[in-house]
Amino acid sequence: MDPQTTEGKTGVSRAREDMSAEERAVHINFMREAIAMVTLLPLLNVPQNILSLTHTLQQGELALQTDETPVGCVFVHEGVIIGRGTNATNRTLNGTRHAEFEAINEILTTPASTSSEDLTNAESPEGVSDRCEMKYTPAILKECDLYVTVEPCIMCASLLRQFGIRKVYFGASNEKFGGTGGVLNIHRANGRVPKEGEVLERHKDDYEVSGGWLREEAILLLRRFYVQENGKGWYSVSPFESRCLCLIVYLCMLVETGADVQIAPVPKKRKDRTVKEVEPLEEATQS
Amino acid sequence: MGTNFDRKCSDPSKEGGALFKSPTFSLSPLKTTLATQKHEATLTVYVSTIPVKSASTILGRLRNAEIDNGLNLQHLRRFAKYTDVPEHVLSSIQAARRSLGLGPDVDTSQELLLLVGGINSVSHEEVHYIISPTVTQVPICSIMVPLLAPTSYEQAVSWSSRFWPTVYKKSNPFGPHPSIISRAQEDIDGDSRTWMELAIRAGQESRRLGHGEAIGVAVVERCDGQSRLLAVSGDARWLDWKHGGSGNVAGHAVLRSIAMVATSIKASENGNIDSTETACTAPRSIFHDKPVISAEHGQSRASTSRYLCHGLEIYCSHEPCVMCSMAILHSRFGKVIFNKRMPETGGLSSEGDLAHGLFWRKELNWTLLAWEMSNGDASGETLGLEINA
Repeated sequence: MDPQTTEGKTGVSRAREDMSAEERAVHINFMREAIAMVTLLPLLNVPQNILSLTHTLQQGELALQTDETPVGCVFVHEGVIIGRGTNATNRTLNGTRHAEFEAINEILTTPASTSSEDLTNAESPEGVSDRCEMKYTPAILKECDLYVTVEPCIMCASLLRQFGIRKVYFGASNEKFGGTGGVLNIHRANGRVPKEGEVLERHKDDYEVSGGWLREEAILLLRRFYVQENGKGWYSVSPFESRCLCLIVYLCMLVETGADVQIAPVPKKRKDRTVKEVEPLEEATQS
Repeated sequence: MGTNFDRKCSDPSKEGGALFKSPTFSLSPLKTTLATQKHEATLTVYVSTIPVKSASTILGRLRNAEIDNGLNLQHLRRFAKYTDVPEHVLSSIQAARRSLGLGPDVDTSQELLLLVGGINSVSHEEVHYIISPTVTQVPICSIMVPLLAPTSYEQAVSWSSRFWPTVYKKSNPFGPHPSIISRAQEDIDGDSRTWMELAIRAGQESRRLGHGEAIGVAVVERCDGQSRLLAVSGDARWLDWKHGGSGNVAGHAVLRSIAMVATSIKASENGNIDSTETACTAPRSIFHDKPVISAEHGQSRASTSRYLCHGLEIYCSHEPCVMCSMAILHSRFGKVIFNKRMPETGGLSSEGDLAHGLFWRKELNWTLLAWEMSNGDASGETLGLEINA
């Protein structure tokens, strides 16, 4: 569904409506971060932030390894990314573990003590004990904007509504089960359809939605995924090239941080991959 | 824990039958959004009169004209006797006769009323063309008829008296076929109370311990007439949660049950059957994927497909919120049964405030059967209307 034509009915504004170039650039940058959650290609442009690189690498590799539907998202608070997530339905065997859930989990379990330097260790069991205070309270979500490559589904739209969110920017529309304009309008009055002539009052849990940001790139990601589903390759990158890429990034990180970062193994051929193979990877990324 | 629980479930009458002594217990299938929203939609059609003896000729001419494009009017009788139609149809046709200068006297036993077609799919001239070979003057009037098929015999009777003779064909254009629903209902009729009771109890225990609201869920696998409990969970929105608001949204009972089915399978795949052991070492998260109270339970499924909950049954003490309803769809459950309706926040029903009717919507890529289980006074706790179950 083209957001342009549906704005009036669904309350989903289109990308680039009367916005300054600077503002647009900010949103597009964050949307790129969301896309980076599910692709290796952005690694070619080495990001300035080495931490984001680590994350992207791990998550991107994960997405490749497990045949996850490539959906990625970032939560932004006052211009800073405080949480990231990718779709994890295959990895967890749980069809409800969408990117938004993963990102909110990350935000709400970030320990208060973590400084930005040792974020890589934050996921270890020792780093996050029950006694440790959390950095963010759930109330922070109400001040966050979400950038997600695909329109949130009905489930996630309701999750966002119940936790609270300020604004959602999405890439591609989701006509199959989208919850912010695609099928239902959960962001407005929990999706209640107004009676004829009725104007829905703004509810305190309502949130703004803007669609179509980097839409083509998000669609391309999905298309590549479905091509892969049909037995063809994910990217035109061969396993050898992929390994070289990983090595380069690994070396970059060693030089930059001296940190002991483990690199996930290169994905094997699709037919050899099973969900079980993911287990060692998870441990590797958490230790 | 697992074995202990199995024993409990096998004989529910001894331990927990008290909840369900009420004889008013019943399962009623939910209506789909289409059934509740569009069943009164009407269409304006042309009606004319024809001699009884030329009925088959005209039927042939009607078929050749192919005027019913896109419309399915199978639920409406093509021909009707004068005595079978409502008063207002008779007066419309009399008015049409008068305008042609025909007298009011008709031998009603020699004439039939004919429903020609929707006024948007056939023109006045076409109607005239189809009928004119048999009679010289064609009285034509337009009346309103129900656009879509009735979903019950009672509805057909009511429509016949109000619009035009209508037939109930035991089909449901708005949802699952009635025979599918009744067969499925027979399957679950025997023990659905047992499972609902487990769900309700888990919810009550959750609240008693301060873990969450009194909302509980049970997941059941049914194979060749045998049902097996896979997971029981209580709401955990206030577990490890110091904050206000709506609590930990990821701790809703439905999400937890789905996760328990997944973690049980993961655990058994890893050869680690005792899932409680891993719970202590797992990193902190907002997901409470493991049982935390004695009423809770997670067990691995025998047969697994790509979608772990494919075809399973889920029993909810309360109608799930929009998020949980959609989670049930994402997990490809086969049947959902809830006890207390949540009129303001529920996502399954098509008759509440939201009227989403998520269990059966053509736009979505999964549909399942849904029932509301009423059991008189002895049922799940009444929650605040604003709560998302």
